[in-house]
Amino acid sequence: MADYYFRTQKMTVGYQNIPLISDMDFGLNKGEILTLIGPNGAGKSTILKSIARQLSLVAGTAFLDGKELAGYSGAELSQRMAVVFTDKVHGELMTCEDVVATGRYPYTGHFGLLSEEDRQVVKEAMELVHISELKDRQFGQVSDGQRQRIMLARAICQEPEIILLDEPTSYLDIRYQLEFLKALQEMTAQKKLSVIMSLHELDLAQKISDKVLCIGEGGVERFGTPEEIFAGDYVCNLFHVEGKLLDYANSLGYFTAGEVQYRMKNQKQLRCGITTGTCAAAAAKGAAALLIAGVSQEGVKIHTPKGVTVTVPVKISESFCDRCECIVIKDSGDDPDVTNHAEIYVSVEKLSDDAEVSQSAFADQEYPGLWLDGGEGIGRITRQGLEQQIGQAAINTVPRQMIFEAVGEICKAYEYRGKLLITVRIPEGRKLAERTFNPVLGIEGGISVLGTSGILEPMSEKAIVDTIEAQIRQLKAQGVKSLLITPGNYGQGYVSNYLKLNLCQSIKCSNYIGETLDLAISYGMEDFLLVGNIGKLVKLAAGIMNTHSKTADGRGEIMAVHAVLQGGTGEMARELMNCITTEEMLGKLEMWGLKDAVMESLCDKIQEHMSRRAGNRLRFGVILFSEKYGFLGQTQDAQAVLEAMKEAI
Amino acid sequence: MAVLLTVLLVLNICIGSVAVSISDIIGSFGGGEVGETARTIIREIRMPRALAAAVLGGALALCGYLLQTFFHNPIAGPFVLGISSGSKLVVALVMVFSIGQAAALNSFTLILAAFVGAFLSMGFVLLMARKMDRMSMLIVSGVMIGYICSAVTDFVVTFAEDADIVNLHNWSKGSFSGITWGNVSTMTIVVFAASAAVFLMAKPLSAYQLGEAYAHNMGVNIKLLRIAIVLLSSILAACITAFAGPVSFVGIAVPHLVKQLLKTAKPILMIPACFLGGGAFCLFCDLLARTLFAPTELSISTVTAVFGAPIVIVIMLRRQKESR
Repeated sequence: MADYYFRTQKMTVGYQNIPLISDMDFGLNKGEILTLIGPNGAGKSTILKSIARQLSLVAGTAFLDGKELAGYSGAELSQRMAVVFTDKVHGELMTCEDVVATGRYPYTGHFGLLSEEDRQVVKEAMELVHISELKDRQFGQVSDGQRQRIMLARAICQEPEIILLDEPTSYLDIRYQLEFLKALQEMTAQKKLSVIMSLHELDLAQKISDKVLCIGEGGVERFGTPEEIFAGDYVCNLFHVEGKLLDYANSLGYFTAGEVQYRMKNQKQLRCGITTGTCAAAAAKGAAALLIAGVSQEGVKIHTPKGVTVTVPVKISESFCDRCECIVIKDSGDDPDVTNHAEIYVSVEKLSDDAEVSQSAFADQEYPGLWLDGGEGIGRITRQGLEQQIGQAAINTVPRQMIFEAVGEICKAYEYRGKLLITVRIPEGRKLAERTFNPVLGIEGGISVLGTSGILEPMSEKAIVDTIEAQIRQLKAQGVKSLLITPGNYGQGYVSNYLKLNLCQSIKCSNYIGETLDLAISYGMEDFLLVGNIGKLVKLAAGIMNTHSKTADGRGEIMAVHAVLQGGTGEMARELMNCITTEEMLGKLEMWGLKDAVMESLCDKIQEHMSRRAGNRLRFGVILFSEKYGFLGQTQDAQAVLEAMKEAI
Repeated sequence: MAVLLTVLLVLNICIGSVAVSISDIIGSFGGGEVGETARTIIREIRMPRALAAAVLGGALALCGYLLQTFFHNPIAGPFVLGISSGSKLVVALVMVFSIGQAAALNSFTLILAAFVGAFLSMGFVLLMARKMDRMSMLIVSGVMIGYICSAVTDFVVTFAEDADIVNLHNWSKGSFSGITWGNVSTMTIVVFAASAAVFLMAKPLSAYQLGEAYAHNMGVNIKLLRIAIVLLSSILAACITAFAGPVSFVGIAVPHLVKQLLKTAKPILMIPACFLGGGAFCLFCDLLARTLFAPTELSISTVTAVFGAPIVIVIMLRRQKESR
């Protein structure tokens, strides 16, 4: 005990010499977090106030850094110990920076003027808890969450060795709780700070603490590491609650990445993510289970179209008797896209039998009584040519099915037959959409809920090329001489459904067609068959070998030029340029009777560009198809390569 | 603010039933050619009165600021909390009894009497404050103390000797008239000493603004600070009451006006600014009190209430809005 940075010896605390909690013995080292847990009124705040010397100890002693706590002068102690209490602070006419700067008090001169050095410390403290942008805001005008972080910054400014926090997470929503505790954890690690705090959130206490002190009605009941404390039913007894309720409480908390179960090992250390659609389906399922059965789940199982079942962490945002809402934080895996870490909220609401449902809401024949609509941050369709009708929410077919299926499963399991309205919203969606192509596509007000397979396989540039290389190397080792390449899931579906080829030798190249071709050559492949949706592969006709839309678009231009080359008019070219999708362009070409001619002309051009890159080092073929029109065209050697492949297998 | 104070000071000397020019003022002190009447008016009547108004106004505002900080209550002030009335009572008692014994009263005795009164009612308010958590109740009890003290004062006045009544009656309503140079020098010494002490407390006061818990954590000796605040605000309040009687609303309104003007609540700026602002405010009100219905003089509280009360209402409304 003697080595602890802070320790107590038979410490008894209470008000006006009436002991509330007697004979406490506990200690903690530098850089450790001690959490006090226990029911309301047990005396957690009293302990903290006593340590802060706002209440005098009834009996016993406390030692700080080997010296008796009572032996420190006020000024000495203030340079070692900082506090954040629950009292609301009225910083009248003070900016947030002013409030933080009060933490420098023990270091300033007689009139409390700040030196340059003090200002620097204030600045760093504000950066540490990410409130620098609030600097000049009035303290009275910031949110409770921000206020809490400001008070933490103030405490940091004091450059203490130990910080006392009384329920620092009250007033904070789940996201800020996590952020706050993360900042705290970083700090303790960086500055070797000791922390003593009281917490209500048991799961957070379990995760963040090094030591836990349990205070029951009779005083200190246990002291130990979280593993010791949280084993068995003890915590339930402490709070006099049933285990089930505690599970519910825990489900309100966060789940760290370590618990995410949807990693796929065959991807060579690359972590897969989940699509927005999967997130929405999981949140919908969680909300439906909570609404219909009152069951809360930490992880919701979702069957993805890819065939993999994933467990997605879900937390509860709101829970009323007729409406529940759950949140899933999107994890895009090792290939972060714009929606990575976005919060996807899905609410499920009971509707009365005669309730009217908005015209634009989606319904599904298989699941009568269920409606699906998009809320805040989900785009709305304003132009023809997409999967949805004008006015509907930008939720694609596959995610729609997944959501209906997930909620339908719960309805079936609990034999619920009433009407339900499912609403998906992504509060940041409107902002995120600015970084997507949605504005160009005529999808307004937010992002789209997408995903064809439910799983996001990592697509980071270096990583994907490395993966392609690894796969080619593997196939080469197996003696394979011909490669079947598809850009993505659409291509694979077409290959297995229509070309009847076995997928086991296929490689997904994403947008890296040029790189894949180069790799195939360098590994000595003889045949190379590329099968893909025209939306991507049309770009090859212009020699664009990386088909990612951020590299280049040009679909309209290429189609228009080839249409004109095949006898189309200028007016037709203009119309093609105005189309949003290649499917729409194909529709027009077919109407004008130009489709086949244009496709042939495209394939010739693709042949030209590909052979320029490949030389005559391998035989290659390219097959174009579309979702709606099926086979569209192929390059000169494609048929031969295809036949050879079928034979080989 | 210092400029404003000076301008008002000069105006207060110039304006009155006998008009005086600026050159007259300079002349009366520089030994120039000024008529005897003007000289007397300037040197014996207007000058001390204006200075007294400035100094006492400053003291009032500062006292209000201290109390507001202490109670974390925006409408605390010496008048509202009954401190002015308490000291008024004791001063009245002392006056009546000492005049009865034909003893002369000097300024210091008056201040001392007022201080005793202020301290007694302050003690009572503190006692109430400990029992009551809600600030609104604190104010109510303060106002009640004020009424009780006023009632007793009226009682004393009613049964006082005839000769004392006029004097006492004027005084108990609050006025800056009849102030002598002797009074001015005494009050200046006391007020400046107290104000300087307050200024030296700027740093702990700024810590105190965030609440006692945090101030304590920053190493402020809370007990000492509390005692200092109570003592200093009592001295300041006593000084005012002793010379000018109870003057309402300056203590509440001025700190808020100054805060809004400076857009800050930092004690290091607020303390001098409050002093200057209070002085200016009182000079302005005294000017109006003397001149509006001349030759009849209004009591100073009448004027300060007209300007001060609306400010208090605005503060309350704004608070309501913020807490929502």
